[in-house]
Amino acid sequence: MKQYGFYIDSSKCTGCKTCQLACKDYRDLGIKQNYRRVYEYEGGSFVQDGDTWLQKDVFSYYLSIACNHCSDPACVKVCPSGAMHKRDEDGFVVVDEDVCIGCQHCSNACPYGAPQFNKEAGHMTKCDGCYERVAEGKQPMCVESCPLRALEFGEIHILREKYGTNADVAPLPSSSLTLPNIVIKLNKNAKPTGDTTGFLANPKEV
Amino acid sequence: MIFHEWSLIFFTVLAQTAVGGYLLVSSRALAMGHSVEKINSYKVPMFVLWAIMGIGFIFSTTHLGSPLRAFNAFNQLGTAWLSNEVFFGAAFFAVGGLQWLLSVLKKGGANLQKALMVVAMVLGAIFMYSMVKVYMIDTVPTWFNIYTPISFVMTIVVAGLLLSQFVFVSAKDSRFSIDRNIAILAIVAIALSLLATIGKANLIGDIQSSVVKASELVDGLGSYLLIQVALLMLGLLFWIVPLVNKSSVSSITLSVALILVLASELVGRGLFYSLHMTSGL
Repeated sequence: MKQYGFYIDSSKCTGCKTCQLACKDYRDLGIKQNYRRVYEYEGGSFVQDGDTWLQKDVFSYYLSIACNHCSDPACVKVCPSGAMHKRDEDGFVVVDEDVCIGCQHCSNACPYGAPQFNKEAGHMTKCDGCYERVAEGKQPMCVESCPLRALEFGEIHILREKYGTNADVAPLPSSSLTLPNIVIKLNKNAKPTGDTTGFLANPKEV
Repeated sequence: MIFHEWSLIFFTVLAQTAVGGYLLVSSRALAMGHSVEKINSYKVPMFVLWAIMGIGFIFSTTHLGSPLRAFNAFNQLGTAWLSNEVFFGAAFFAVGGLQWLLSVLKKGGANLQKALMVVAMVLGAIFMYSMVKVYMIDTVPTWFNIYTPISFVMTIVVAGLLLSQFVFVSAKDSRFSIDRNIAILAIVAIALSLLATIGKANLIGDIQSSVVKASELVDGLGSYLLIQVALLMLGLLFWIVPLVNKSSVSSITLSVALILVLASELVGRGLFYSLHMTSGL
């Protein structure tokens, strides 16, 4: 079975959110729906040395997260209608918008915030990996738009051969929970999963 | 504000109340070998029980973004607990409701009604088990712990005991010893329920992810917990004071007690949904 995934280079990402907006534009999403979201994790403090304040351990880094098209998707397991499903042909986790009843239990379960409820339509929506573009040999819109070349897309086993297997970093959950198909290159400030020294700096943007 | 999931708050609490009450009323009918006349004499108070269940189901559909597709909720029967919950809930309502209908129409003998009772009790128990499993999601640390089954069972027991006594008293089929025994059970159950609430509050203080502290999810968490406990205590007061006075228990004081206990459970369930978070973002 084919399984696509994303490579996210957190050492390159500047948090410009071009990926988020390119997706929003391409998929014509409302203000409250973001198939890709850029999370800004920051923390640390300054110390006073005489008259000056010195940067002690201040940190901040970005993670661009869409749907990770998990191998053990929490959303699919709880979906009562079967609308949320994992495709055999490419491994994408997709919601069938004609079947979904809008109970939103998938968004209760997903620890990455991927399912995005469309209140007007009354059903769930989410990143589908741009599977139609991928089937034509194109890249997903977010990947293509990234000006920093911090996002890459491809079959996950190839991405893992190139970049390793890490999918764990704060503030993401432990990758053992849902087996996400992502590879993350850590920022130099990266904190481990479970870290509580930082906070989400842009809660209204995600 | 803790009532944003009001439709699920009402659905789960009312369903647990109705199933708890039904299990107790039917167990007594089966254990005491009630005649068909006796079973039929329960029809009016049992209407109250089924009305509570019916209102609960109406609330559950108002939760859906696409209520016209509600039947799709059965699609994953056997693999998704939410499908199981909806199926067994509907089956409990159908079989139990049929038994009630037979008691109203005075059709079907005692054996048929009792057989339906047994089936409805089993379906109700599976319904309640499924309802717990719906929320036991390993990516949701504030739900995936022992206090979810404990608090759901305590609602079934406390509200169920009260509703069953309301049914017995309204059907004029109670006496002092029964009322006293139910009250003793109620005091024990409410004491356990309080312990569970304290334990849960304690656990919440320990749960946090990189971006969320569970204890900061609800503004005024402590005040809501106080309101929940105060309503429960007030309900208990209306429940047992008539017994302490040795005056007869009336369906009016029991109704007041039931409203207070349900209000307490609704606040507790509101907190349950408001304390949702995932282990990640």
